Amino acid sequence: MNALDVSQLKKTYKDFTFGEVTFSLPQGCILGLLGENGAGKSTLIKLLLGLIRPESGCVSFYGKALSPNDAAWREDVGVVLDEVGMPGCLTAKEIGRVLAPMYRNWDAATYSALLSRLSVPADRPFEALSRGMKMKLGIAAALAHSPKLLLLDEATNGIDPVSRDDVNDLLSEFTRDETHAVLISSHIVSDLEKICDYVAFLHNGKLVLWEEKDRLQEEYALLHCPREALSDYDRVAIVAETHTPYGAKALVRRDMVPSDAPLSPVSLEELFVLLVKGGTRA
Amino acid sequence: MKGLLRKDLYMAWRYCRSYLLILLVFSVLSIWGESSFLLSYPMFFAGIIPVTLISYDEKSRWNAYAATLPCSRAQCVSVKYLVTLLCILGTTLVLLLFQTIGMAVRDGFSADRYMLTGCLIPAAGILVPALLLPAVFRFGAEKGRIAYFAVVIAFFVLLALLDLFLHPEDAAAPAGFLPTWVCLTALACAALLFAASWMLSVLLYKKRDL
Repeated sequence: MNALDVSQLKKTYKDFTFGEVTFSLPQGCILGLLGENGAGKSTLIKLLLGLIRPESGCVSFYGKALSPNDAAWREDVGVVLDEVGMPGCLTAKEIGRVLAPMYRNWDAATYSALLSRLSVPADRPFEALSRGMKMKLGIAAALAHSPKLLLLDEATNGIDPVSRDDVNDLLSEFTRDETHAVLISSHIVSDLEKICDYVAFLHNGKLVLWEEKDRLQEEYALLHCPREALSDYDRVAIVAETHTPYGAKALVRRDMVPSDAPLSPVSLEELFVLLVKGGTRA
Repeated sequence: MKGLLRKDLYMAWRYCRSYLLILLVFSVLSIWGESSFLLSYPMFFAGIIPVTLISYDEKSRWNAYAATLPCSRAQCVSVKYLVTLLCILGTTLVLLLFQTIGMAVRDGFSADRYMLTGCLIPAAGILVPALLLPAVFRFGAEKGRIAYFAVVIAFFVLLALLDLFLHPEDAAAPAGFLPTWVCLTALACAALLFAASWMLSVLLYKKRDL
């Protein structure tokens, strides 16, 4: 059973259409959600949480279809939104006192330990914290009630590299329990590359790619060649391409190009940039 | 709900402390003053405390975060109505206390004065949030400001009419006062409007994208 099953989720705005998007997040896995600004990452997370109403589609949480006004499942979900959302005048300690009666499984000792581990001051008002500290407080609050699923929207952005590493360690520890899962959106592709098991690319509200990270690197490669040489390759093999005065760079399917083709491994960042800038043929 | 209420009480204490000073100053002045303005002004402020809290919630994006917590949208709305009632009730009790002191030191106890302070002023105070909150829950505190100005104008027009009725220009005319049943009916109507406002706000907030 998957932690999350998203099927044909769609939302239309005046100037933007999200979806239809379909994907799954298996238990014990971390899914990294990539996409440029305005691609629909936050929209997806808001749709999953019921903050905005989908026009069609459905979401299942551990096999149970969710209804828009179902609040009970949120007992098992830890959330960090891009602006965290804690009241500015409250300290971390007070936020703990506010959240404690809301969750059946709230553990004040875990919350306190997480604040210490992430070096978040307990007595400073939220509005006086740096963005990184705010995010870390949000992560501590999200983990303090033993959730099964974590939904993190740009939660590691604005955190310094050392603290980001601490957060990444926390996420890896979290998914050591094979019933847990994490969906994290970020611009920091290198972090996602380190911790994710699955990767989803959103572009202009559409899910361009959803794949196991290791399979992506097995299936795809970078082809560097003169621009005119690209025409020698099967067009179906070329997923995306960009051109420079020095030649062409193309994202290709490894199994569809000759074995002697000048291929190099593709990083997640290159894959992301090529899919966005190079158009897609997938 | 307990957590939501606790959060609002923390915020009210931090952001609305100056209101306590207003309440104290106007309550003390009302010992000697006759104008119902001295009673209505702090009541008006008590009624807009929840709107102020919603405005801070939206600024910090708490409204979106709260929608990710295991509480329903109806509870998020209800807690603001509960805070409103607490503010109105607290203000009424303080005003009644100071009015009692005023009557004791001045011209003796008057049932009319109690009716004004205990029924009419709270009824007018309830009207403000009852009219404002559905617009604020539907459109947000920023857009809801249009409703805010309309309600402020309506409140002070009502207040002026009340003052005129209780203290007519013509000194020869006896200072009129509404019969007890009218005062109680006004309070009951305000309470009904408040309940209808609460249900409407729940309905509107459930449909709102955050």
